[in-house]
Amino acid sequence: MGVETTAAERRRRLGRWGEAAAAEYLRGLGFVVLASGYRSPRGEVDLVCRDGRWLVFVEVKTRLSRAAGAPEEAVTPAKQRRLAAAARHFLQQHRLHAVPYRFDVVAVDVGLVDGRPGLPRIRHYRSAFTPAG
Amino acid sequence: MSALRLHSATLWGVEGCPVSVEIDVAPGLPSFRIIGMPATVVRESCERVRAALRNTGFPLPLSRITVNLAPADLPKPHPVFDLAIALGILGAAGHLPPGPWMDWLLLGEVSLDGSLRPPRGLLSLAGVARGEGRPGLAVGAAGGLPWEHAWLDDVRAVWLPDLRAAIAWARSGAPPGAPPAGQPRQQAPEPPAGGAGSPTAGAGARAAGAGAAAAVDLDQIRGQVHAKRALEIAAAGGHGLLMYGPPGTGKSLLARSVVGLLPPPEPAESREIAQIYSAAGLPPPPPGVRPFRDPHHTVTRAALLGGGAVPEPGELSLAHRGVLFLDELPLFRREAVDGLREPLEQGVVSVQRLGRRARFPARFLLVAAANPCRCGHFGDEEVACRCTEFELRRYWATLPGPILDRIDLFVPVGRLSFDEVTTTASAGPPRVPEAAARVRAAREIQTLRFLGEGIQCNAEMGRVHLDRHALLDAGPREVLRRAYERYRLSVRAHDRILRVARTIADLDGSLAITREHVLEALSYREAPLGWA
Repeated sequence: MGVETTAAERRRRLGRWGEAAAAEYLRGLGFVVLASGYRSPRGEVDLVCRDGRWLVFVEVKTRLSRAAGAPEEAVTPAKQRRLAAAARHFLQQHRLHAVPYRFDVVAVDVGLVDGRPGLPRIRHYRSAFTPAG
Repeated sequence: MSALRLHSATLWGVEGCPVSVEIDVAPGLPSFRIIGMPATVVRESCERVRAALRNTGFPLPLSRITVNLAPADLPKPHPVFDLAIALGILGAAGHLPPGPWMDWLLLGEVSLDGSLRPPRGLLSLAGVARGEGRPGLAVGAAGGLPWEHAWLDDVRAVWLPDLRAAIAWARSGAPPGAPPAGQPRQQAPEPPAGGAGSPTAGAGARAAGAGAAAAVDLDQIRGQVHAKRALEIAAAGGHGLLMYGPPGTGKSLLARSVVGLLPPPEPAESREIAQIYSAAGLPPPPPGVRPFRDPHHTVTRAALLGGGAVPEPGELSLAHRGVLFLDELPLFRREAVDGLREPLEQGVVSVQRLGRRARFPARFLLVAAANPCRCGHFGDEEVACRCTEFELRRYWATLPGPILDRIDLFVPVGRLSFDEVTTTASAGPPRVPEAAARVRAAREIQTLRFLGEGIQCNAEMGRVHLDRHALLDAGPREVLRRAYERYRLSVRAHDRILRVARTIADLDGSLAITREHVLEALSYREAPLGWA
């Protein structure tokens, strides 16, 4: 506390906190996290995981409140397209031409207790969308 | 969470088509999609319904919502499905119990605050409820009852000002709602025949037409006896009429007064008129009055005939069962005038849009006016015409033959004499009530005459009908023969004279067509220069 933070910095920190919570949750389901914060020139993937024979690209959305709507509602079609582009980049980079893959979304609602994150509520959407085109 | 199927309808031209609205609320990433050929305004329903539900206290469920509008190949250009979509989401999400409300025809556009508007073409859509045997219509009614409510007859309706009211209605088992107080539907005024004592009788029938500007009483127009008589004949037999003469001689005024000569529309006709106006999103003409439309000569083909990307009734259909007045007929676009052919022959306009045909009823009395030439003074005794011969020919050449064929009465309208101008117009007894009574009687004769013949008035008589109903005795036959030979009439002109003579005889209450009838008919033969 007492350290001055910008809004952007706070947002990044919240995102990282959410990603960590999501990764922990997914590991609990038996997912193996291969990469987090994967960047491609055309977009980012929050978590890249293996779930059995599936390669899973995970978008994590974290919200402190519902003022801007539910976190999962922020995964717009435009965001989905960026995610898909980043995923294709990942597949090419690793020469993964025959691996079945899908896109999951993990929504993290942070319950604040005395201004500090409490127990997060997590909703997991398996194969949340199939990218168009 | 489940799928639900509700019922709505969409407007295509002036027809209502049933549409079923299927709503699926499934687990998954929250999304809201509408499929089944929605127009942009219908697709935007997502945003309207989302906001309206939230503002009514029901945020959208965090689910994958899919709305399918079936049949998918039917274009859905109007925003009428919001009510069905909103209630469907609530039902599929478990906020509304299944019940009789699911059988009703749900019609309404929702605003962001949850209030519901009535749809366009309510009368056409009500026909769907009747045809499909639905228990009734649930209709948006923010801002009061739409005028169409008076025309619903046997179709029950509940009027819902907003989503909150709609939810309450559905939860309470969809009660049919009280019928509108009284039966506010106005009856057409009684014919002026016996009812001289009734103030509304004659006046109601010839008061304002569809436009406020149409309110002209024939008795208030000075002079022009010949033209007035021609209007009476046109009204009686449904004959197309063209007045020509220099500017400022009262052609437009005369045309506006013809509505007052026509009998008030029959109930079935009023219903057709109301349905067209409802589909056009316009208020209807006052009860008991036939529509009068006078599009400007710059009108486009689509606006005149009906059409547009989403087919809407044009001026021709707005004039259905009434009067279409085309002032300055030669100045209309050629393509617009050409389009008159089909409606003049068949009484309908049909347009093809988005791979689907829309048919608009368009049975009207055509009244046209024209200056005799471009400068307006050809044949004028006081002012010299400044047109060249080429201009004269060109002026009339824009009128295609098939249109002229549908004009039976050619009426020169001249300058008034000094005496005519100074005479008070309303001097003498009013003649309109009598003329209107004659017209009505003549129309009744025609109705009986053409029972089962597929036509409705003398103007529609073809060769077969003329042989049956316009036979001439030796005397009148001789009159027509002499005129035919002397003026070298065409066959068309000959038939035209027979049709008009038939109507003149009907106005006279005479079964036989006499010499006088033929002679009078011949006086409307005169055509302005240019197409003789």
